Amino acid sequence: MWLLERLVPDTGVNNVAVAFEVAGRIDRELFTAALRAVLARHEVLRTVFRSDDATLTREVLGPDQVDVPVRDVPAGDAGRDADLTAFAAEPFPIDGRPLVRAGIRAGADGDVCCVVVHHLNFDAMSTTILLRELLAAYETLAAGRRPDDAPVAALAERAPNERSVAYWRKNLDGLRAAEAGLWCSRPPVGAPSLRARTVHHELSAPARAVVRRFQRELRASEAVVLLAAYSVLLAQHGAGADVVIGTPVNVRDQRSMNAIGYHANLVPLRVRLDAGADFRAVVKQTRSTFLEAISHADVPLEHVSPAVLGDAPSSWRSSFFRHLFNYVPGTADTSAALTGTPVRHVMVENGYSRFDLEFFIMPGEDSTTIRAAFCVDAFDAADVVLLLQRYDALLVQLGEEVDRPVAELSRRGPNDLALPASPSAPAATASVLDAVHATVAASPDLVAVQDGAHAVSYGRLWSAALATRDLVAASGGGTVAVLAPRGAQLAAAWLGVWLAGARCVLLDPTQPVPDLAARLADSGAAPVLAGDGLPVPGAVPIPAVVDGTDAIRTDAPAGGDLDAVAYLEYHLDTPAPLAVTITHRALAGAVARLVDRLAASPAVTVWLSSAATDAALTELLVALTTGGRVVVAPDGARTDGHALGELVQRHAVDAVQAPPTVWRQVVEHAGDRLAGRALLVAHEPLPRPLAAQLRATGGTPHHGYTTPGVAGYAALDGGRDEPGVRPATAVFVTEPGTGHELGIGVRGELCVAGDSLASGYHGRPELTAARFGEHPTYGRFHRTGDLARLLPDGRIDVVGPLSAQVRVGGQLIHLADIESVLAAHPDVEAVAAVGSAGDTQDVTVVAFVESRKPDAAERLREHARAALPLTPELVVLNQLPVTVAGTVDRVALVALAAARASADADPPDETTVALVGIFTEMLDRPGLHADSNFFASGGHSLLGAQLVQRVRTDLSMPVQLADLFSNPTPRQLAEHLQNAFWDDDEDDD
Amino acid sequence: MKKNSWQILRKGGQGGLTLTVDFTSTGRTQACFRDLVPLLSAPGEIWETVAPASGAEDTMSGTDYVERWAKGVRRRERTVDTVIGYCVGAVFAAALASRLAETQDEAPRLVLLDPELPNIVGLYRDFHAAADALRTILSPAEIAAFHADGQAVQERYGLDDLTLIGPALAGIFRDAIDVAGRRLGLDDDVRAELGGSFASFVGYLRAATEIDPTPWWETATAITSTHSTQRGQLFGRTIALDVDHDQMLRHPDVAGTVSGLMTGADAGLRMAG
Repeated sequence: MWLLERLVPDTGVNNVAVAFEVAGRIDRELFTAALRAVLARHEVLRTVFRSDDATLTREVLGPDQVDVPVRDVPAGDAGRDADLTAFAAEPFPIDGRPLVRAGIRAGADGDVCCVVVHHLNFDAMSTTILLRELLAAYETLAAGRRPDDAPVAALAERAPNERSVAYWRKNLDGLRAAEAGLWCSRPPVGAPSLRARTVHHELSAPARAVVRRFQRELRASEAVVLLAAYSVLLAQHGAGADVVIGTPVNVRDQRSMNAIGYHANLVPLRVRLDAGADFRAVVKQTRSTFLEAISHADVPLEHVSPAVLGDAPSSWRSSFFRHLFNYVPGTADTSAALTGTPVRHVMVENGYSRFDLEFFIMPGEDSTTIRAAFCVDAFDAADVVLLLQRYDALLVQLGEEVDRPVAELSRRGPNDLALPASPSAPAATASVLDAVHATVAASPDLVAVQDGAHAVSYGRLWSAALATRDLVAASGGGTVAVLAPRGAQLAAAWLGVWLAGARCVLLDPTQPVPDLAARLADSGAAPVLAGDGLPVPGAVPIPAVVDGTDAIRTDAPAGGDLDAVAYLEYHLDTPAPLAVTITHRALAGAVARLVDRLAASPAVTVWLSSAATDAALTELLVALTTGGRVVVAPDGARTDGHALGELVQRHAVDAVQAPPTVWRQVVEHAGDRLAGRALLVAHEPLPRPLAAQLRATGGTPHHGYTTPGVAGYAALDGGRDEPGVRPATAVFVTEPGTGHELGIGVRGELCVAGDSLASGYHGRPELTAARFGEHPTYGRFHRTGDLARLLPDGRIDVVGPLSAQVRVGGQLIHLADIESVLAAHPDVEAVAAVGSAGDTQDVTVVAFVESRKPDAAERLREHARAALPLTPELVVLNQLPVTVAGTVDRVALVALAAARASADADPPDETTVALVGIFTEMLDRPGLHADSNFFASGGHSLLGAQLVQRVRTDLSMPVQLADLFSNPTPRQLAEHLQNAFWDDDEDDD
Repeated sequence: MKKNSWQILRKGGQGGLTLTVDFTSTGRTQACFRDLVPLLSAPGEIWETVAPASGAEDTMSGTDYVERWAKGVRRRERTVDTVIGYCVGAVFAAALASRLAETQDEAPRLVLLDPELPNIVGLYRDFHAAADALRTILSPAEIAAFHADGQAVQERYGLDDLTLIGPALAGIFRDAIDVAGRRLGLDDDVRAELGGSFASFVGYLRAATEIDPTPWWETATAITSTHSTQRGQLFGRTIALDVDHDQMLRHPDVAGTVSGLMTGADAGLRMAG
């Protein structure tokens, strides 16, 4: 029903289990006697709690008062581990009965003995002690001797001393709560489940050998070596250069090393990885940090956090660290045997974790096993397996290159390196002109361009192109702008410019005039060719495509230079003009790849894309290079599904290409006429609902990834219902900044190599140098500026622009992750999120949502609260603004967000503003506004109480906690305080 | 501490008044009437009940609760058109509507949103869930003791007598909050209010157990969610909506239905009385 906070505590979460398996049958009587002997030695295991109304009383039972029967743990169908987890999860009643239970599961392969103890009396070290003593007592009893029953006194708790508090205060100074997860973790979620899973990895022999060698050479314990390597691993995966790792520290002193009980303390180990530090330095620092932490471990973390973070409430929600390291010797003692039968330690999970990842190291004589427990909210198991492999590989690499700065070490493991090489299409050897001319020469009467009722043959198109060639040649221009609507005239003009050995500037006559002017000026184009009826000052008319069969010319193209620039394409999402230059070789390669993928030759395509984009070029050239036909679609067909559908059907079109925004508008009405066609989704991620809609038409959706630095598609896939597209050329992912290649599943900057790369940025040599590089294997490559990860099958999952990552409330989150969560809501047609002002530090995220439901905002806000770590501002629009290419116009949205922020549409009053300030401070998260719900923004009742206290002091308002509970937003609270019946004293009861 | 019996959710002049009954004095993320009000197309002023001041609930009967709220309405000489109760609030809403009918020409309409009788299992669950807010401030041993104490109450009193269980749990809660509040540097009165919030809730539930709403429920209109626990209960009219119990107070379908009932636009309502 109600009350306070969310999570329902699992009753078994406080239980700790220890279990071992023998390859045979255990003697139950002996085991019972052995357990009794251990209970006799440890009074803590005989300590019980009893409570009456409000107090908890502790009592130690005498050895003869304790009765812990050994139960049968039923062997169920779910298997050993599940049976043990169920046995461990049973809650203990706190009623004076022992907080210990024991059981034996008789399995087909042998018996498993399991002892479960409540956390009040137990910790990880206790499991080792208990296991050791149980086995020893059993062995002794089996030999007919009397087991050791000398009592081990319980360890008295020490009070944390001030010096230790001071140490932690200094050591953790300047440390923010752990901010972002690793680059291979899942995007942050709103309400974590805290469910945990584990995977195991046995350290390879070479890695073990390195660790052993380092113990000698670097004079460090195995734990320190492994911990130092763990910190390097985390840093390589995005934990930053100031790595904080939690580790449970045993607070037993020498005298009480064998004391069972709750004597552990989770301490933060902070390792700073300096830029030039080699592993020796890291080990040295880790060792001293580790030792210092141990000697100041008497302070529980709960005492440290307020001391360090003062009253900053963030310390309640997020701890200092997300990653744990736990070195537990003695857990994998394979030499153990019971009466000659080998004994194997069995881990019993309790199924939850508050942390993202824990490396639980179990060293043994012959092997070292790492049990990696991870929170399913943070990782997929496959990514943890890869992390473990990389850890192993890192140790081996360190063995070879101990003197190399750790920042320079490889971030990849064996599976990453074994990833199938990206396809490398054969380089184009002929230009698109040659391919088009083949049909011109062979079938000059074949229809090349279908424009409404008007059909233009290859011969006539080529003749017009030759006329343009002559015109351009006569002008002596090297860069020629062509301004014409899609149609035969534009096609002929483009071909003609190339025939003249010049380059085209791709422009769309429907672009705003100032944009066109800026691009024309930037390109330095001369002449400017304009289509019929376009009033462009100073432009030369494009030679007409002449009717009739006279004067058909089929001159072959003069052998042009494939590495000459074919066209300039301007970015549509930059306010200032910025163009890439694409060579004939890249263009021919891109067209050939697409033809190959579509498997339709001759191909009939719809010419739908804006002439300012290379999509318009590929639509035209896929048709003309295969002897097919391009069907000109009017701009209106981008929003009119009926018109597009009719076009597609009448002309038996093979392929239609459009961005998602266009598809969404046309798919409903065009749907039944798309069956059997290839449906290319370009330029933007394909939302799942749209993919399903496209599949439902009977057409074949292909989802493509395009980037301005590459001609055509850099990746293209069938519209699979999962993230990822198959690269069409060589790709890899690198760590932004350092350029180190990253492994599978790790998010970084996508780099594309191959022969379809742009030759550079027009007139921007410094930018070209920065964005293009040389890879030892793949050759020249382009840094796309997009965040992506490699998938295990070689496909890539492109998240979105690197620059679209925002830091909100200390968490790094990509706008694309916010968009995909919102897009999953049924009310949402389309969504685009922008960060305010483009600042990556603590921005406000505004999500623009296209919805047919005007009241969707509140439902979406709720949906976002549940699924995201932040609640973006939501603005519902009838339609998202689009560029001429039909893609979402993010430049316009950023401006809109800025305008909203400064608009005084509904100015909050003074009290509300003051309350927003206090909310922001108390919740320690930016982006809060007048309508932010305190409890949905991370607030809870204790924090609420602090807030109420602040409001009373700062604003001198007689606010009560109950007022906040029923008015949880600044606006509501302010309104309530103004409306309240303050004069209503008589109502007092 | 002095405390009002009502708070205004929406101003709307002197015309017909709508009263809502709910227990909001917990930091819940569940939707509340605050969320529903902006979605209502029906006009008029809307108030919401405020729980009695901390400590006062100990000595108040179910009738006292209802009388306190009725008095708050009478003092302002308002005529109530509709009384809406959510969850256990539906118990009080029924009694309150009946009480107000005695002094009005026309009885207020009674609308029940997922009406529920007080439930002790839920109280235990809420008690243990409260420990999560404390987890970062109290030590593991203290948290364990909190749970242990709660379990001890359950072992001792079981699930029957709220008058024994409620104060026992409230006492444990108050003590734990007091320790946590001191560590956080909270003032005495803020601590007391926070510590008393559980007691306030217990008082609300206990008072509800003293009222038998079923005669009134049998003639009222109930809007039930997917998770309604009162499927067998007889209502004058039941409108079953496929909505989530926790989120129903911000669901547009619920808002639409409630608006229809508030304005009497729904013919079925009049027939159902």
